[in-house]
Amino acid sequence: MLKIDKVSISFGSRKILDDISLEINERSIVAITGKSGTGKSTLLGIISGLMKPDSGKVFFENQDIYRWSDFKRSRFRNRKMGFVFQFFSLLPEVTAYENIMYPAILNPFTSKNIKDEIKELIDFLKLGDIADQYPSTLSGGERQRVAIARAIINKPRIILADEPTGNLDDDTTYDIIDLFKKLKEERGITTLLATHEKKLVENSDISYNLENGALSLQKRKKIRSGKKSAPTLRAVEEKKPAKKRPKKAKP
Amino acid sequence: MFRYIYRNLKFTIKDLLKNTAKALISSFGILFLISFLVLYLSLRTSMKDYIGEKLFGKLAINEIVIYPKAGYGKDVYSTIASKRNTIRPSIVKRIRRMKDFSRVYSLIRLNYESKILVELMGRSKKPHAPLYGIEPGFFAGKNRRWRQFRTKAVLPIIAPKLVIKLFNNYAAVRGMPQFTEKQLIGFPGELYIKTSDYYAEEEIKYKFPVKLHSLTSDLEFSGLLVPNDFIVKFARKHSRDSGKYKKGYSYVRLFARVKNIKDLPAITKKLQKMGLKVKSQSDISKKTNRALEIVDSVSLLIGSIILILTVIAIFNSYLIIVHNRSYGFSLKRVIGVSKIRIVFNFLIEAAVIGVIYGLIGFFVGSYLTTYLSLNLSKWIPVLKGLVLVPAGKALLIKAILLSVSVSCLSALIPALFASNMNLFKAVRKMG
Ligand SMILES: Nc1ncnc2c1ncn2[C@@H]1O[C@H](COP(=O)(O)OP(=O)(O)O)[C@@H](O)[C@H]1O
Ligand SMILES: [Mg+2]
Repeated sequence: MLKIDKVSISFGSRKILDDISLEINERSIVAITGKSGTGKSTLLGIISGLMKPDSGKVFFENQDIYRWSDFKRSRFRNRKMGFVFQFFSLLPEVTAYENIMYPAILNPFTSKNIKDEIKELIDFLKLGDIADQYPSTLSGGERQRVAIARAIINKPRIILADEPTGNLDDDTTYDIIDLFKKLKEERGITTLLATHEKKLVENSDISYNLENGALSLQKRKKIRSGKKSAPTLRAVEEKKPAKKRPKKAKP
Repeated sequence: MFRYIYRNLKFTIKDLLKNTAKALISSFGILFLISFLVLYLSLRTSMKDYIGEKLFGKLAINEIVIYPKAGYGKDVYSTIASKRNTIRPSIVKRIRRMKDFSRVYSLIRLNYESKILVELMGRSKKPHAPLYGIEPGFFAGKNRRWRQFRTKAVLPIIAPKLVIKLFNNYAAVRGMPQFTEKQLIGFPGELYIKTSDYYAEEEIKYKFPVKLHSLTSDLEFSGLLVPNDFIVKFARKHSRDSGKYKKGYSYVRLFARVKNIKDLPAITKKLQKMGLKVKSQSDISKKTNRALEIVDSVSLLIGSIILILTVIAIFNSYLIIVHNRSYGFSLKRVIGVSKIRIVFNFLIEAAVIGVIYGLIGFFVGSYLTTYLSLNLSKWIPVLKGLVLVPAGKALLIKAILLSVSVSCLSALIPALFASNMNLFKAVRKMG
C-alpha cells in the first residue's frame, strides 16, 4: 500500500534520513522506534506528503505522491490518512464534535448521514459525554480519543501516529493500543507509529529502529525473519504477531 | 456536492467571524489611508472646479474666446474705446467669414454711461452698470430659459452671479433672510442710459423697464447683459446725441466654436497674427493642471507615506496573526486543507476587513470633508468660495476597492507563510 523508496533528507549539514526504504502493508500496525531527535517525526512528515525529501520517493498504491499537486496531496491526506500526535493537536476554538467533523467538511464525498456516522464513532470511542466540550476541558486520554475519532472520520487507509501515547498514563496508553488494534481488525486500518514506548512496540506487528539515519528491523523473539535489508511485512503477517498483553497492566 | 459547498461555506464564515474581530484591530491603519484618500479626492475635484471656474471660466473643448490686444486685463472694461481694448468691426467681419468656425458670438459693449435702479427693501439704489450685449443663442444649452432672453417691452437682463452676494450682503446687514438665485429671477428695475456728452449743456437720458432674466458665471465681469440687438438699435438711433463724439458700441470679445479641434493651433496662430488674443480650453487646462500638480504632488507625498506605514503596520500585524495561529494553520494543513485554500481564506479575511474599513474610512473622510468645507475659509480666507463637495458614490466604490487591495496585498505574504506551515514543525516548536 505505502512504499518509501531510498528517501534521504538533511537539515543543514546533518543528514537525518539516509537512503531509507520501507514498505507498509495493509492491516498492520508498524512501529518505528528510536531516540528523540533521530528523525521519526521527519519520516512521518515525508510520508504524509508535507515534507519533500531531498531524494527518494514515496509511493501510495504505486503512485509517487510528490509528483501530485499540493491540492491533490492535500485531498489524499484528507481522505486516505489520519493523524494522531503526542500533543493531541485539536483545534482549541471548536468543540470535540466539531473537531471530529472537520476533516469530513473538507471531503466532498462525505455522505449525507455523516451525523449518524459521527454518532456511531462517538459511541465506538466512548466519547458520548464529552462531544460538546471544548478540548481544554478534556483529559489527555479523552483528547487523544477525540483525535483518533477525527483521524478516522473519513475512513482512511492509514493512521500516522507520532508519539500518540507520549503524554498519557499507562492505563490510557493501553486503551489507545486497544483502539489501534480494534481499528485494524474491525475496519482494516493500518497504523504507522513513531514511538519509543515499549508497550506500543510490543503490540505492533512489526517494528523498526531508526538510528543514524538508517532503519533496521527490530528482532523479536517471535519473529524469525532473516531479512534485514529491505524488510517487508509480508513475512510477518503470516505468522501471528506478538504475545497477548495483559488487560490493564499494573502500574 | 451541494452539501459539500454548503458545509464549507458555513465553516468558512464561522471561521471568518471568529478571526475578523481580532484582525480588525490590527489593521486599523487602513482607516487613515481611506479617509485621507476620500478627503484628498474631494479636495482635488473641488479645487479643479474652483480653479477652472473662478479663474478661467467655463469653456467647452471646441470653444475659444477671442480678446482684443489688451487681453483680459482691466482696460478691456473701460468705456473709452481704443484699438487696444476693442476688436475692430472689420476684423470681426473677417472672423465671421472664416470657414474654421461653425458659430461666432460677439460680446459688445455700449459705450455710454448706464445705471440701474433697483428697489431693495424700501430703499432705492442706482449703481453704475456697464451694459453689454450678446446674441441670445450664446446661452442655448447653457440656460434653459434662453429663448426668453430677447428684446421686449420689459427688457430681460442677465447679471453676473456675484450680484446675489451683493443682495445678500445688503440683506444680512438689515437682518433679512438670504436670497436664493431663484427668488431673484424676475426682480424688476429701471435702466438709465445717458447719451449726452459730459460737456453738453443739456443732459439726454433714456429709461427702460427691465427685469432679471438669470444669473451667469460664464462672464467674469461686473456689468449687465442684454440681447445684442437692443444695443445695436439703440446705438444707431442715438448716434447723434453726443454731438461730434460718436460713441455707439464696440466689440470686446468673440466666442467662437471651432469646427475641427485639430485645427485649433493653426487657428490660434492666425488670430494672433491679427493682433488678437485667444483663450481655449487647452490653455485653461494647462493652467489648471499646473495648480493641480502642486496639490497632487503634496498629496502624493503624504498619501504614500500613509500607504507605506499602513502596509507595514498591516503586514506586521498579519505576521503576528500568522504566528499566533500557526498551530491552527499547520493542523489544518495536516488534516488536508490545501495551500491554495489557506491563502484564499486568509485573503478573504483580509478582504472583509478591507470592505469594513473602506466603508468606515469613506464616512470618516466624507465627514472631514464637510467639516473642512465649513471651516476652511475661516482658517484660510483666500480660499473663500472654495466649496468642498463631499465624496460621491463612485468614490465609495473606489475607496472600498483600494482598501480591499491594500489589505489583501499586505496579507498576501503572511498568507503564503501560513500556507507553508506543517504540524511536524509546529509540534516540534511546542515540545
Ligand atoms: N525543519 C527542520 N529544520 C531544521 N532541523 C530540523 C527540521 N526538522 C527536524 N529537524 C532536526 O532533525 C532532527 C530529527 O527531528 P525529528 O524528526 O523531530 O526527530 P524525532 O521525531 O525522532 O524526535 C532533529 O535534530 C531536529 O532538530
Ligand atoms: Mg518527534
